[in-house]
Amino acid sequence: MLNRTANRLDELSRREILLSGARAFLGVSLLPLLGGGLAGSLAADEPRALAAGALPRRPTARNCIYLYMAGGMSHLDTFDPKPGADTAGPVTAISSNATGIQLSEYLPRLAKNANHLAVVRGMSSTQGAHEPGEYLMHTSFAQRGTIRHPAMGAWLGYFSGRTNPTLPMNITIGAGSRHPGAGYLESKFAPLPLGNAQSGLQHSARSPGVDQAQFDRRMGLVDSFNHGFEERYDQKQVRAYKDLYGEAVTLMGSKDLAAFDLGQEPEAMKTAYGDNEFGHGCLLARRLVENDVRFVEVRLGGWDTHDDNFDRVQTRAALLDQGLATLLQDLSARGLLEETLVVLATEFGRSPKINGNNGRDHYPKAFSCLLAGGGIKGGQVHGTTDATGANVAEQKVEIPDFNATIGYALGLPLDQVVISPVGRPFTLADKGKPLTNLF
Amino acid sequence: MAISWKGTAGITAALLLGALAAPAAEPVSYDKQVRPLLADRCYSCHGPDKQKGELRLDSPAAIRKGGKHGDVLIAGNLAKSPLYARTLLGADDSDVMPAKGDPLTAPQCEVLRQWIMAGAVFDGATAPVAAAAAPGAPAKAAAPVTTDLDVVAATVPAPDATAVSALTAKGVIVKPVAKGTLLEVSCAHLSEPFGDAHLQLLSRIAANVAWLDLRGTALSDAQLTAIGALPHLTRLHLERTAIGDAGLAHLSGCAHLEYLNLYGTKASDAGIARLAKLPALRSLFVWQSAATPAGIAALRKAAPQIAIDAGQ
Repeated sequence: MLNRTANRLDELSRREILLSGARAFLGVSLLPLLGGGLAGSLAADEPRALAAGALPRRPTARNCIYLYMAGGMSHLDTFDPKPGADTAGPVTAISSNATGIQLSEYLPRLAKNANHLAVVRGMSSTQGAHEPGEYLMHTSFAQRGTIRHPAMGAWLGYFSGRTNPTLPMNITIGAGSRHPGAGYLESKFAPLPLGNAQSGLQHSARSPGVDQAQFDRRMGLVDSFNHGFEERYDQKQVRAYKDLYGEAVTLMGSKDLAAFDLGQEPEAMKTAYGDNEFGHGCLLARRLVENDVRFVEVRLGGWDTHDDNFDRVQTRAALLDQGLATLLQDLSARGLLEETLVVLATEFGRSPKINGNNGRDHYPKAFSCLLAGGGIKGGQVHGTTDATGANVAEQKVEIPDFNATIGYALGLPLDQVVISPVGRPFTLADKGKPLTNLF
Repeated sequence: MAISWKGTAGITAALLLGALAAPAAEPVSYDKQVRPLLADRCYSCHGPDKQKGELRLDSPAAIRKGGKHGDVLIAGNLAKSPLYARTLLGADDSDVMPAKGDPLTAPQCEVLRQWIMAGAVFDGATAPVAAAAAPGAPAKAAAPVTTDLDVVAATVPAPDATAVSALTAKGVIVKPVAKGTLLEVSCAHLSEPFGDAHLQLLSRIAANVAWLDLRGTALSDAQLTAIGALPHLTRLHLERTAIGDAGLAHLSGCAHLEYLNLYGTKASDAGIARLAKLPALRSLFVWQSAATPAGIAALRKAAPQIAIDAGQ
């Protein structure tokens, strides 16, 4: 009996994985809807929610730029300043262009763009070390040896699919090897990792010695060799291998490869974003989102300020301030900010207590993240910490709640149970509840 | 990318017919249709004898007053009108109205829907029950529109599957906008240049198109006639096209249009001035267009409800 149930779950997940595979190709996800079967049941659901005042929502964001502050960004010295408190150190607060919001003096440009920002000050994590903290922030789940959970970009691909037929829909810039990627979902949902923005996409051109006809013949040969095997072993791993090749060849022929080329941006634009790795990353993220890459993660490291906290945070914050402020303005001018959710996340905050090396240590109990654009109402703060920044005083936000909010903006089904390949049920943001008041 | 005049006219006619087919030509009358319906199905619990939920529906004043749970309807806002919304619930739902007897028939629900959408006017009386809640909505708009796509979605039939397949075959990306029948349509990655063939296919799913992305295409001003006739168009991307003022004139009927992106187009002051009259428009992008600071300032004054981003 137990065996049969397990088989059935496997069967179900297989079908779901197949379906999601089909979704990656254009419009296929519409077919059940158009076929009438699903349309009928949806029509019955909709008014139910309607009368209850909780309409089935359309996404407020099509795309997402996810900025990850690796190392644990000090909340006290950035988005949750405590001027005058013993724990503040030398950092003062400045007023922003949004009523009632003060930011650290290290963020002067963002202070002028606070009308776009929803500052989430009541974040709280359960993980105090970098790797599990990063994992939790990216996946909503505690890291464990037996499974790898998907990050949000993979979920977006799984549930919603791509909107550019030739470019990958999920890209990370400088994210490193720790990134959870597609987790237990099929590898096609994994992000395409770019080492750094300036060099863009490497090895995407056909080798000069091979002309198109030769290339096509070779690929044809590969297909004919593989065909029988693929027929006989129609399995996830076999398909993943085939998909990878298919994707790569499609990408090589894409008309949109120029999206990866920062050289096509005017110098003034590069200067505005900041001529550094993070600035380049933000600029590339904008170019990619403009070309319907749906999820781009850019990483800024160096926030692990156990010693010399204030100088080091000031340096990091300057990069963040310039890159993010310009990104917000640039997206806004192009009409992209309304459709692009910009997220700023980190694994934890830093201790209010300043240690003997003038540094701050890991502090998961209270920290800050940001949301902007993509339907988020700007110029607001969610949650508060106490006078020293040590405890969340109001509106505590657990990491799954924060991720549920991202999923909510992207229109993803938060309560849909997905069965992992070994038969365990998961939802994309665990049990997180979205912060709907931010919209 | 010019389009023949004949072709344009044909497409427009087809689109208009499609748009007009759904709503009845005659406005729904409170006296002739709504009151008899309420008397037949609602008065027994919400009338002179019983007032369940402290609600009576047997006079305009009582309907305006609402019940224990607040308003029963907001003109132009179906989601906030339980008088309509609760009639749509399934028979097994404890909130369904009427609570006893058969559910309302589809035509009966439609009477309520049209009446509320047309302003919930009591014949002879001029004031609607309550103003539509949208802040900054032009008060003089004759027929309040709902900008709530999800509500609209409930009234739109499923899209023509062959048209959708034909579009996707051309590299058009068609996705549902959340659950329902409204679609997000992107022509940003076509396999061949945008042309009349695309427009004709779009006209076959006219009622379903809510978000339309035509950025960077070879769309002409004349072709915007067909786009302007899409009845539920809510977001329209025209950035980096050669669209100018002549094209914008064709958008005057877009009652649901909330978002219009004209960045990098030839739109100038005269063209954007016309946009002040679009009742639902809230976001406009004119960076690197031909609009001048003076023209933008004039539009801001004429239509303060529109957030205009001119870059910088």
